[in-house]
Amino acid sequence: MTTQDLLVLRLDALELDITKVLAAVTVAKDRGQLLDNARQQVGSCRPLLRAVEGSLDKLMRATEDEPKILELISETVHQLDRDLEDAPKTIAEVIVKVRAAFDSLGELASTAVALGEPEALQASLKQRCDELTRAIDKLRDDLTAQSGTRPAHWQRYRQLLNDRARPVFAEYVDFLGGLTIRDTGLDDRICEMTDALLGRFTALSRRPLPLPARQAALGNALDSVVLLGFPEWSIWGIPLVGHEVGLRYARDRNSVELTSLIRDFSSADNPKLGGRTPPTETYMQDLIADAFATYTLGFSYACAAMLLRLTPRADQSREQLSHPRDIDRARVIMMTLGSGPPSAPSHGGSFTEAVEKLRDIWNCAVRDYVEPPDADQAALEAAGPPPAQDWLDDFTAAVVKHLRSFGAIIRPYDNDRWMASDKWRITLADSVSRPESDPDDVVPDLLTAAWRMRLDEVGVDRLATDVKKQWSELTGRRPKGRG
Amino acid sequence: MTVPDLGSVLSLRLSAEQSRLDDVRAMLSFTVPDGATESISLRNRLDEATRVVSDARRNVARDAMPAWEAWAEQSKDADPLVDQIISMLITRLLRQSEVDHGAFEAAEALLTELSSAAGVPPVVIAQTQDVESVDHLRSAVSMRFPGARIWGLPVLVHEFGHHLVAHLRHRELALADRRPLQDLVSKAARLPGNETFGTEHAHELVADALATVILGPTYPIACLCLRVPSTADRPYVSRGSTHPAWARRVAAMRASLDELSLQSGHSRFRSQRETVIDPLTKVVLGDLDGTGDVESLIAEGAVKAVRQHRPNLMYDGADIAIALADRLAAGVTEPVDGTTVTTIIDAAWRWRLAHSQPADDADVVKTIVAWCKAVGDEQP
Repeated sequence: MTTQDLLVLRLDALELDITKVLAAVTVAKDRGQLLDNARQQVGSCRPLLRAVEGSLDKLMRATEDEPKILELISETVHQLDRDLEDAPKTIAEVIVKVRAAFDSLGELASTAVALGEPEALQASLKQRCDELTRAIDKLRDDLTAQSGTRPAHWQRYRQLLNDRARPVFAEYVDFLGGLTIRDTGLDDRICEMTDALLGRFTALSRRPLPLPARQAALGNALDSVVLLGFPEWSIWGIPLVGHEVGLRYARDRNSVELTSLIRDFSSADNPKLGGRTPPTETYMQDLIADAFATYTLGFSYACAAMLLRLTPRADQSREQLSHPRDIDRARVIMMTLGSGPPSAPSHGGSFTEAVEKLRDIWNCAVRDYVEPPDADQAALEAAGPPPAQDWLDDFTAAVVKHLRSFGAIIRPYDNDRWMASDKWRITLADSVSRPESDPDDVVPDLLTAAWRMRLDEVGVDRLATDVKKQWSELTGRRPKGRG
Repeated sequence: MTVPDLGSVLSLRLSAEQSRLDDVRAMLSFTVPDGATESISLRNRLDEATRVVSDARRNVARDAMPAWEAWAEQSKDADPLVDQIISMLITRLLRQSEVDHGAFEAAEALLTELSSAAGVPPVVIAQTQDVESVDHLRSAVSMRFPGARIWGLPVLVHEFGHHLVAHLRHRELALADRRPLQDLVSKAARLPGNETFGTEHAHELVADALATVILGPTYPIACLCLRVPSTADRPYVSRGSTHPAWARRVAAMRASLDELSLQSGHSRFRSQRETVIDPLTKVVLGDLDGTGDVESLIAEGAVKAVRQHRPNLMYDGADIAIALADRLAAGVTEPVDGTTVTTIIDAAWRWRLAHSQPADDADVVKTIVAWCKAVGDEQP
């Protein structure tokens, strides 16, 4: 008996897993099918019950007209007269119960989140799985042909598994898990609100499906999915999805202007670098994503990013990092907020005050993050170099100018939106009627109002409850889960 | 040739004066409708002036010298009355001919809005070729024309400030005869360092502070852009008996913005002072000394008094002004909800600071005037 090759066994198992993963979208699409089937079955009972009710009614009338019929039947069947008397009431109760079951099944079926464009999801997943399959086949062929050494083959297998297959499997688990959480309402309808917010970007690209996950990210295998990272599964973290959309935008190599912008600022010839190591493309893309998210979602993104996600740490050197420091990301966010009309509110009104509050919180945090003797230095580092030596301010201005050139395709969070958020602020504070809003603007305006009130130290829990209540009333659906 | 005696000379003069009064009466009929309140008081004064002339004519026959002396004394109101009616006539003609580009209509809407918010007697708008002024007797504010057109409207708020000092009542009914702003002027006038022109300068500084409270940062911006001389005054050296040095006045305005932020809890005023007023001040006046005690007291007192007795006079329209300024920049002629004349003026200057070249003026001015007119039409 030939001893089986362990490496071949492993490759076979990997291939089976890929087949399972490939079915993810189909499984997701079909998950509501059983409920639909049950609903149809239950629904089909109703006309039958009505027909029985009708026949019973005729019988009861006939026995009233001819009491002798009932006497004759009762001689044969004991207590039939009493049973017939109770029957209409029983049938009526059954009809009510069937109706309730039908409605409950309907609600359950409707909570299954629509996948939007499952064909696109399937296509992107298939592409990644096909790539993996090809890599497995290649390795298998090399094994059969005995080209290369066995240790080298194991090395290739490990890289294939860890660097390429496991990320896809993790995404598969996150995808199905996220769908389940969303279907059952355990996400507190956060994904639903995020979905509405993503309507703001449909002119740019296909609308992704937001799902809760362990970490925020764009889907890779499933490129129409955007993963909302924990612990930001609350209304406060919804604007953070803007960064993922911005990242996708920044990585789009079709934009000649954007590519040129990145190239110019990452060039070693940039005089403002002062001979320092130029930033990488990834570094620039991260910053563009922050500018994009702030430009399109305004104050709510700035608050979510700076108060929930970014770390106010000023003691890292920029040159050793492949991604920008959080203090530099914060600077880009604040500069984008302050870019003025037409894409942001002008200085000197309530917007200025709100931004100042945010800046004060961040600056205090930067100082508090380090030991007291280092606080001043940390504050200086976070504030950035003088303008003559600072490339980040020119970069931010260039990105904003680029985004402005798109007009209505990339919609800024401008003064009109700020004024609209003020109306929502009044609605939340005084429980007055809701303002009229474009569907794509409701969630950004509502969240901006909520963040403004949070910085005014209105109770966080109460605010979150009120926001979700407003959302429920707007969509006409009962809130799920808590509050 | 017969040489006339004293009585004849006086008779000639009285005839000439009667002709003048007749002409002025005709001007008044042309300018103000007969039934208008202002017309009644002016006609009464004209009737009185005519009576003085008639009395003098009767008395001259008896004894010319006493008659002349009596007429000279009693006719002192005639010249100011004639000036006032002529000013009103010019104003009306300018408005009718539209050579003022709507500035007077906008000014009228502004003053009506402020008087109503302050609960003080209304003021009328008149024309002057001199600097702006307020006439407490007539309750009139004179606007300079030709001048800066609508860009000069903030200066009228300073004059309204004087009117406010005279008329703003204490909010408690039992103390309604008190004038809290007058008290502030008196207190500031007595401060050390203010002795030479104490009351006059205190009045001006209080009016500057009030204009800042009412109009926000737009008032100091307009002053710095239109009125403050380009060469720096030496700080704290008086320019004369009527007005303090511009350095002191700007210091009072800056202190008022800080007080507005401090007392209202809205940082926007201090923020605008830091980002707009201070750089503008440095450009026009150079580096200034710190704010003096008089200016600080006036700023604090003005903000406090308005907050206490007429809080709706405090400027709170920045957000609306920002929206209006965006519309001016975009060429949108529809105003936003909640537009008032003060927010229009704020918006106008926000647009102005971002567009300093006059080429864009005509359409923007037209829109601004139309907005002021629309607000004015809504006023009771």
